[in-house]
Amino acid sequence: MPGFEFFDANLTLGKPCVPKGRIQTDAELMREELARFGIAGGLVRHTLGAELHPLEGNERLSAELSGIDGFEPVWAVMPHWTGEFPESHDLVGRMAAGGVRAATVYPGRHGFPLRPSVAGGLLSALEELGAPLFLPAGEVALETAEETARDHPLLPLVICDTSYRLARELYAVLGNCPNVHLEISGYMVPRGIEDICRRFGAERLIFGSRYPTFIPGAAVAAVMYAAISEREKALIASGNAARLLAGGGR
Amino acid sequence: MNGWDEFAAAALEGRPLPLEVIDIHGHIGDYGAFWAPGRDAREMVEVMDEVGVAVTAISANSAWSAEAKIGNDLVARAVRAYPGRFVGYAVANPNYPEDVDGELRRSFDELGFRMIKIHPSVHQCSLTDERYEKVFVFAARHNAPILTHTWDKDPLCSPEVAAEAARRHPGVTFLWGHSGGSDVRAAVELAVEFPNVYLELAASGVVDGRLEYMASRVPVGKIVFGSDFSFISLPQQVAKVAFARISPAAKRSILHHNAARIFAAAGIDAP
Repeated sequence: MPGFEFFDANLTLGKPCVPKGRIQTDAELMREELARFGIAGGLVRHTLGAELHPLEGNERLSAELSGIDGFEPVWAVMPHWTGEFPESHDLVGRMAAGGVRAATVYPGRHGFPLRPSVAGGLLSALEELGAPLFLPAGEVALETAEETARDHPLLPLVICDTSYRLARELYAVLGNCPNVHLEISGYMVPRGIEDICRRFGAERLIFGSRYPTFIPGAAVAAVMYAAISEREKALIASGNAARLLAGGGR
Repeated sequence: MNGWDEFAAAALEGRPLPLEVIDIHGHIGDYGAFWAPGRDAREMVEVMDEVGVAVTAISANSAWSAEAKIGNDLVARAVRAYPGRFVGYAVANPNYPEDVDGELRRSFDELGFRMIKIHPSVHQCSLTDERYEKVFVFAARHNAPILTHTWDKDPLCSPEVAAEAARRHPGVTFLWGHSGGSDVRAAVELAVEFPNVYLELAASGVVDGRLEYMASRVPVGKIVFGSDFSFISLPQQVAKVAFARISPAAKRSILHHNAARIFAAAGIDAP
């Protein structure tokens, strides 16, 4: 067994509108299943936060994860302008009070852009809180991620749910924006982990499995088979996520 | 280890799987559509060793153009450079029917290939289009298995169209690449009807439960391991089988025995 545990930054609870694999609605079962793979904790999103409304999903998520050691909610957030969602300073206060240390956005599904006039206040508040923001690749173009990263250099951004076809653009974003990170569940690039470690540093990669849709062991295997040092594996497996969640910089 | 079998235990620790895996769906070389490191023969063999893959059947990404010869020659160089580690797929472009017979003959007679890869989506040519007839006739005459891309959302190579091709050519062994695509249900239902059809596993979505579903509905002897490596990375593909909730015997069949039988029937030495 490795000398480190895995912390999974890409977990989902709840029934999806269109199932595309396994579904998990029981947080305790999730914890038990992941433990078999050496995954001791993680960041969890809820299907309702994406598919219904952030407030509904966030409330459900925090309740379902209550008492599940090692697993934390990732709140879905959106701008406040319509009055359906808290203003930014109120939001970060609620996050801090609830022990919520990470957020995500669904600009595509929820119909808002991340440009400064719409989401600038929200992003600045998250930046001040030091909470990493997860950007699902299907929801946010890399171009937008880069603009956001430049506008908010102290906001840790984690691009998640990616594919294997984006290196030509991704490398530019990683090179230009030190606050951008990559969650690895979809980045199935031959020697891709090794190459990013060599060019940009292992600090830029965040372990995630996309459980329960994907087999969690696939992402574990991606790290364990990678031709990188044990120190780099440990950073990817859990060290980098711990650093970001502790507000430890970009 | 937590009740895992020897395959899952190896994958969890990053050790080579405990048998000589045959990967029946691989690619080599650069590709215009997207870049990745780790696509030359030396790097591929390094990764294969790390994971436990003894041999990978490959076509070249550069074969997917009007000049398939460039890719077939690249594959031949890899086969020669690493004896026993690669098996070559011949690629011919059906949109240039005047070239098909000649390139397939050259690939078999001069380069030593014994298998054929076709990609109806790339070539924009249906599996039932008469332009593929020369390929099928050649395959039947040479007892050459055909790995074909299949995809449920593509009318050129949906499982239904692939089934029609299998029906028309009972003397050809078809390997259905990706088992019909993002939704394997139609491919699974149809594959059981044809003794000349195998389901191949490569998929960038490592969907939990998919292999278990397949293994519960088709004989395990019809399922072969393929990875798409080095189009995509290898460890996650191996993990799909290693962690599947199927018996170790079934994993051995999928990872080695079934492909070994296909190789033997085609006159290819298998590990």
